[in-house]
Amino acid sequence: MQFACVFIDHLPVKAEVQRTPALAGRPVLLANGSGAHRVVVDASPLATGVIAGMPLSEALSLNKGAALVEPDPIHYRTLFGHVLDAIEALGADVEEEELGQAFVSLTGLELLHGGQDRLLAALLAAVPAHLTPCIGVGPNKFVATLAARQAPPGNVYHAPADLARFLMPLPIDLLPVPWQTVARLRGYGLQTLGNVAALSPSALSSQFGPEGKRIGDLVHGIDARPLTSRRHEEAITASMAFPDPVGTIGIVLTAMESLLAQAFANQRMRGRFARACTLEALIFRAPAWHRRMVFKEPLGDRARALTVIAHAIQNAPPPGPLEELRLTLSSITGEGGRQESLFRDARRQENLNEALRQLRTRLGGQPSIYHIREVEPWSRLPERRQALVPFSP
Amino acid sequence: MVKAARTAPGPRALLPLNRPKPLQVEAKSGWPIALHARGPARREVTAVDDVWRIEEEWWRDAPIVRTYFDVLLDDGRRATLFFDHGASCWYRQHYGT
Repeated sequence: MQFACVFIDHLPVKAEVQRTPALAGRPVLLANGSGAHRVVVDASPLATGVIAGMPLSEALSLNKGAALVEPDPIHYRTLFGHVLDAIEALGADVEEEELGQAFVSLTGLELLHGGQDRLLAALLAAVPAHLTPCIGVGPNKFVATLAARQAPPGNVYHAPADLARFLMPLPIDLLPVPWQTVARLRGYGLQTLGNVAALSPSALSSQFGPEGKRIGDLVHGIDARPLTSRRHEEAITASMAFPDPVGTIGIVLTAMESLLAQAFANQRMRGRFARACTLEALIFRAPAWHRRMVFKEPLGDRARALTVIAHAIQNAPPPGPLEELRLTLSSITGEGGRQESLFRDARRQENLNEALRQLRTRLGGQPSIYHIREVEPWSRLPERRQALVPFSP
Repeated sequence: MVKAARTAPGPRALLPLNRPKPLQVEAKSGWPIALHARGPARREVTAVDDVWRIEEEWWRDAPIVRTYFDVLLDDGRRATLFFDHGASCWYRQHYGT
């Protein structure tokens, strides 16, 4: 079994430079957050001494002339999605590990492409040249990942047959474990994978539990994780950019109405229903906003979808003025009818009970839910005829 | 009026609907001529369309004795008022749910 790891280092910065060529040749910093809490999420290699997570003020003090760019995660995900689509078009099984990194199963594909070299050349060609991908090849995902880190930009690196020799000098930061685990390993004076490999499996297990066994396997080049192919979901997307940031809910809802009209007018939505939608927005001087909604029942018309989405937006509006809004309808189904019950009243009672259960969970404890009961309907005193009685389903 | 319970109604209490609400009423010879619905706003009674009397629970120490007036106000709205003879107070009461 052979795996390839397609690795695009600093994908966000590369995407921004492609979009704004004036940024080329300058140190670029992408920062999230607001005020004094802004942190760098990505930086170009020209920015010296900057790592992701560093406070922006510190990064700027190290790079005085750096260009500061607001991150656009929607654009980066779309761009990387196109890369993965292009790789899949070669007939490959692809697993998206994270933004800028994906695994490809090479087994069986060599014959299709006339050899591994041709296949790897096709993989490199599938990625736009400005993203300068690195490809690492190895017997499993972990080794392929490490090989990709050794590959020169725009090239392929094959992990050598002598895995122990390859792995020993590499730093422990490359282990796919939480940073706390890496910090603990470093606390024991372990700096390289070789240092960790020198420990007995029982010593690792006694310190780290099941994770220790996994670390022991990884440092010896053993990684049994299978490749999990990308899940393909049909989705219909519509987006709108605002010339000036929009902060009024009314305008946001008008824009949403227009996006829904656009999405439901799509040929692929004709006679079909959407079970979920995702709203994404670029917020003026704030991190991007993202919200996924699953409809209680599939929606096939824009008016009903707008009612649900408008309600959700009014309850939890975006955290700032919008620069761009994007709507994605997903989980699209051909279901055109609703299952009605023969026992309508029983069904209504069930629905009511379920709604009350959800309300109790949401509000906590015993919310004040009453129903009206006739107490003394014959009474001449109006306040004695009916009463609100605590509702018990 | 029937006395209120000692404890304030909680979430599990039984809450009567259409409870009468105290109201400041200007009256002449026992008939309402104006009422102060909210704050200083004064509404004149332009017509009394109906009057009836209720006497209930005569066996109690303080029986319920009310005189109801179905009135038309100067802003065109209707209201049902009553004078509680036990407490010597005016109240407004809604009918129905």
